[in-house]
Amino acid sequence: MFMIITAVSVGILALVLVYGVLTYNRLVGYRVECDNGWSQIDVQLKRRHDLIPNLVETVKGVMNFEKETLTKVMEARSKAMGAGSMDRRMKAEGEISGLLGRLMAVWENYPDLKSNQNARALQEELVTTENRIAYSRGHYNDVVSNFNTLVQQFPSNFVASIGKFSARQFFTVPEPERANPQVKF
Amino acid sequence: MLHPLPAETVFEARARAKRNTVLLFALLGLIYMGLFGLMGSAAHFIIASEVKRRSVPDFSLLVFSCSAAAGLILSVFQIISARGKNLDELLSAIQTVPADPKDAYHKVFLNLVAEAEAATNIRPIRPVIIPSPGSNAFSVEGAGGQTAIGVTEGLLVHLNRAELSAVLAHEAAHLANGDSRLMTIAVALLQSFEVVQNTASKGRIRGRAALISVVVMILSAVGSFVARILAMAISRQRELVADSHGVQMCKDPLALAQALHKISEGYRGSISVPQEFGSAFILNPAMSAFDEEEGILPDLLATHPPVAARLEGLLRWAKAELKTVVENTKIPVAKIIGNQPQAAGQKFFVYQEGDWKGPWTEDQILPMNLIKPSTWICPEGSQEVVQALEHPALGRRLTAGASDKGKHLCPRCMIGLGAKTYEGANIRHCGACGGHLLEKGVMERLVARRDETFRQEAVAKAKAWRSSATHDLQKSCLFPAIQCPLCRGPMAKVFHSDLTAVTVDRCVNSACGAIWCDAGELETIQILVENAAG
Repeated sequence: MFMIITAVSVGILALVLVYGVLTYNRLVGYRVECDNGWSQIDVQLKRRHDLIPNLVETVKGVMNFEKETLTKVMEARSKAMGAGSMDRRMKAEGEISGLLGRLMAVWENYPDLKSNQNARALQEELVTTENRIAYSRGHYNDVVSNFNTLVQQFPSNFVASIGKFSARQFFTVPEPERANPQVKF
Repeated sequence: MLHPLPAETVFEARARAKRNTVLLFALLGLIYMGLFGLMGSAAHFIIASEVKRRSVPDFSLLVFSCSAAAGLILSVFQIISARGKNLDELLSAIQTVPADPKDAYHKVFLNLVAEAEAATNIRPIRPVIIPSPGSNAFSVEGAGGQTAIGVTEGLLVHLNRAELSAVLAHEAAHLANGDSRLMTIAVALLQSFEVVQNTASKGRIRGRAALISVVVMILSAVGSFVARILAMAISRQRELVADSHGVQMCKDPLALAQALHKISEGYRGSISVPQEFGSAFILNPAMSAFDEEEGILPDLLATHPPVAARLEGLLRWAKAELKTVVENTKIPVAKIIGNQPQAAGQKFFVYQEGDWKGPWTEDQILPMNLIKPSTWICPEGSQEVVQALEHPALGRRLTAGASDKGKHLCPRCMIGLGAKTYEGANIRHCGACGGHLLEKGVMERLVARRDETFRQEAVAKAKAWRSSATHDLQKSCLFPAIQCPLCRGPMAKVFHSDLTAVTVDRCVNSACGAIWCDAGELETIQILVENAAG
């Protein structure tokens, strides 16, 4: 009888151990994916930071072109670049997205910009960068969601707490301002 | 199953098409094993009937399963040999060229591929171009998971950014779902039957062996026919998966509907690619009569679902009507602008063939191809005679934009060629004679693009050219052979194409392959090609 109990408990222990190791490895795998996903977003955000001075330089010659918005973009950019915490950075990046969206919306109303080859190339760069950020964000949020499910689900949450895995924050962008841009001709 | 896309959401459609793929593959596998089993059993039966008196059973499960297993092993070999092809081989079979980051149209394409990379997390996806004015797009995966997405020059011209983005999302979805691999397996099964059929037809043609080979041939013929139908059905399901997955990515079903409509209605053209690549494209490049017809045979044999059915589903998701798509995709009417007004300004006399001619204005002289930099000219109202290059205003015009002075010289005038952007491509031109130098592959882009509007006189000249019979023997006699400005090799006079019958100079060095067009030739080629295409 004792032998049977010993054998069963050793068996259960072995199963638990195997489950623990497998889950731990899965968690590590997901964490690496999250890190990769974040670094892909980071690359695109840096790309956008590099484009902004270029943008200001290109459009500053155009009369009355959203001077206020341009100043705000530059401010948000320096805020994002100097942000210490993830929260602050996301807030600043969200601000940039909203402002750039506003600029793109009024862009077509300026014939000077439409006919200028540099401005058109720059517009294409800004559009593709926004799209890449959106796509990378979608991918990052997918992998974060997988990771968080495993971290919080029973019984893998025990492995997660032993291995000091904690749930990740999603990359969210605050809803851009809904107000229509005011254009004067 | 044969009538795709009933009323359902994007997610449901994608899940259903995936389920259908699994079912079709299971069916294909069963039929495959069954037919190989039957072949073995038939052979066994024929041999057994010869030695009838012994107690050999008519049907043996062992023989059946052994031959089914043999068929399986054959298919594994087929799959391995098909998957060994690397990406470079595949791309050279489709005859693609790399995209040029300095070209405005190609730059947008490169950006879109980078967006597809971000969306699928497949890195890297190699962007390639098919130098054809037709419209199509494809994706392939080679050995080791190397992937590529390709588009034709025509597609980049005729679709707007949103439409291109939707097409690329469709292709990226193919890559993310591993459709290239799936189709390789389906086709490998199909080809196993063909291998058996070929082997059997080469066998001995006497006695029992002949009977066996006939039976095997019949069975494998049936097998390859059924397998082809199933493979095509799988291909159609994968298109539906890619349509719905692509829409999930780009979130713009209307743009994909417009793209499909544009390609199928106006700008499809046909591209010559090997038949086995047909299912890699967004619309079948061979454009068979089956594609758009309804009925049993078209339903069974087409690689892609009919465009009308695909549009129906996309429009439901977009909550739009076909009317909107047709309205949004109207083919713009080619614009021709009026003749240049007579410009006022300083006039010049030009010394030609021992006589002073003119006077003409700057704008008149340059297109006439009258002066070289060394030609003597005399401004009207002055007695001063100078060489054209030395006159401040004319000289500036002759060397306009000559950024690489002394590096690449005009083969006719021997002055520096200027760089300019023409229809999104970077080309070089000579300010003096009006000739253009196109690097390899650029001509294919320019004849596909429609940015440039032509003057009436140029259009009239091109039409006159087409109707004249004495196609350019004169030029070969008058103009001496020239050296390639890029690689200094010799250039040969060739017809641009039978269609235009314009003689251009092409560098004989195939790695360089630059084309020199004398004044007016590029315009004539463009007008003739674009007229014929539109």
